[in-house]
Amino acid sequence: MKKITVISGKGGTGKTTLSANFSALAKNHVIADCDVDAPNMHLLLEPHVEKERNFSGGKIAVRDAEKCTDCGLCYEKCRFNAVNEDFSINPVKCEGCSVCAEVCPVDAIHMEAALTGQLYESQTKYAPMIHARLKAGAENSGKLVSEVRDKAEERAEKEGKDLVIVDGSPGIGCPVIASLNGVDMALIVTEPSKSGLSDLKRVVEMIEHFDLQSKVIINKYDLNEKMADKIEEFCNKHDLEVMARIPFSPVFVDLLREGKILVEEKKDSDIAKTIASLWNEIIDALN
Amino acid sequence: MKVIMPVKNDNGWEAELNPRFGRTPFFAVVNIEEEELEFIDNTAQNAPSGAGVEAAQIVADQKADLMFTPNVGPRAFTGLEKLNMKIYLANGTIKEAIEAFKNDELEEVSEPTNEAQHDH
Amino acid sequence: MNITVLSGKGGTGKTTVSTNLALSLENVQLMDADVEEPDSYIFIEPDFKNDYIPVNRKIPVVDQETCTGCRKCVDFCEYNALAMMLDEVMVFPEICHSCGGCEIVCPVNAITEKDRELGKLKYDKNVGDRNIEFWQGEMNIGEESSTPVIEALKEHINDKKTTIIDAPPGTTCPTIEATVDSDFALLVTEPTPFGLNDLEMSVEVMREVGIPFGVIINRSEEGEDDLIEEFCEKEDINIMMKIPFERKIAELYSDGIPFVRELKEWEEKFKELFLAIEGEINEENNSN
Repeated sequence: MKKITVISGKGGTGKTTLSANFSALAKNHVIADCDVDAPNMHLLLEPHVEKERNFSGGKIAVRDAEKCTDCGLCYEKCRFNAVNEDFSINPVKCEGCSVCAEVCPVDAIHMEAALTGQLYESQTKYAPMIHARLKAGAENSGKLVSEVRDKAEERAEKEGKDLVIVDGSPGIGCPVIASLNGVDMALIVTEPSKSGLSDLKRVVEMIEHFDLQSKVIINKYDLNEKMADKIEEFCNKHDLEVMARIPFSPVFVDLLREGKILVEEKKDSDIAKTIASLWNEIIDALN
Repeated sequence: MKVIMPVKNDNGWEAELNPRFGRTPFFAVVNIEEEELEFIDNTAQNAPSGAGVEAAQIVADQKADLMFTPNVGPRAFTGLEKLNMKIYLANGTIKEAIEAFKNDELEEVSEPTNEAQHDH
Repeated sequence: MNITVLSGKGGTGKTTVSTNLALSLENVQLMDADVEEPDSYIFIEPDFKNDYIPVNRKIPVVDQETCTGCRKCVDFCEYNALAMMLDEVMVFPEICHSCGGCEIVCPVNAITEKDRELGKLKYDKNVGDRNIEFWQGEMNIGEESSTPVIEALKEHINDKKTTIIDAPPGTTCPTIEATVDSDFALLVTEPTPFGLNDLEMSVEVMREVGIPFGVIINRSEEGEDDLIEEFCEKEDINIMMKIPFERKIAELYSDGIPFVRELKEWEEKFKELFLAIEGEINEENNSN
């Protein structure tokens, strides 16, 4: 069973749209949407949720106002400004370290599992899909991403699937790292702009710690061919293969608005053919 | 000799070794000579972070002579290498791993097998 | 006055809005709080003079001689940043949350703390002909949380200036940190289902955090905006600006050029946006 993760560093490069198109082209696979902060794949893949469960990313302090003697020790010791001046707890800032519960002389504080998100196991018309959503303000430590991945890989193993396609999140932090761990290939989707190049550099720095095949896709390349060339130059210097240059297509966005996937709706278009042949190259490189 | 292994379930000698060390549901503890097998729960499975560290702590507390595992991440490795315990790379079922060990087929681990899981 | 520019979805135009807004105003401080992938410097062109302020977090140091091996620290730590291997207490700094709990629970005072760098603050207090005070937060690669870097960045907010904060994309902890102490939030979106989906999440967050906000539609297109307009009308949300989907604007962006520089009429529009924001804040204050 192979695993491939699509990341971008910079948001808005077209990562999710491409992942969705790959998900439609792939055979015998499971889809994992690991952008748990702002999941979007469901808008294109229309999953039907079969199972849903709560996710707890840590603990949260809960105060019994009746027992509290207002000594203020919790306020003094909390390093996250999660204890307010009236000694109530601010759940958004609380990191669940339990120092307040420890120092409280009258046991007025106890720790509870924080409900920080939901994990979904769903079915789409192309493949089973595992996705999740973190609650607003939650800490995105990568733990929920790992659970999405674990579930997806478990499902793939159980159903004899060959491939897990992971849609990662923007950035270079722990959630992205958690979506890359142990995968066979990383696809980095970038765009031809100075910001795109700047973000690509940080992604490359992060990814150098991993022992995995990385390929770059320059999306919307014809919006600025000079910048696309600069990106290719940078990739060459770092031994990174640019697997494809995909032209900008307003059709993508039009179809997105209708919740449709390009490789299905416009199968015979040039751009669909480009993406389909890119996908075949990716499969070849994986095996 | 006492051997510990991260395993996917507690289904006896046919239980498969688990490449996910930190979040494995069980550890199998085997006394090779006496052919005794017991399973212990891995409380690190649901740890908010540092599952590898907590799992390593559980392993350390078992005071095994050997560990067979398909994987060990950098944090767990940093902890485990301090113990008087040899770590070998192994796959398959508990039974198969022990066989391979007896036939001198297992390789000792000298560095972490992968990047940190970052699923704190 | 502090204004945070944010977006649920990445790539909608936060940096476009924050940099162009900053370049249209006087007496301004611009802070790039997208500390995983800061981009504003491309448009502002600051000179950081090869200097930076380190962002540190405290991590425990265990005096192994004093340590009695009681394991209270190991058992206490919610993040498994400590473990007992043979007789030594080991510290795993990257997962330490710096809560200080281990030091508190140690019965023999064997634990002290030291600094560990997890990010950097770079700055140029006087950039270009508009004298912008520019700050950039950067999280070191491999670090667990960007929030401490954003907190450190905010410590340098200059009360005497209008501070614009370019937030990281999303709705979780770091974005909230960049927003929670501001007077107003500009939610940047695009007229697509992705944009709407993520705008809905951002609005939910803003209402929880309790900050007045307005929406900016970037890549606005006639006939397409109604997706966002309908939502905003239903929710009684003000659309404060529309930046059209124009090739010229996209090209300038990809070349790292702020478009207010080339398209002067936009400077006026951003000035008007600012006045509108001031108006909304005053209205909010009057009704409180």
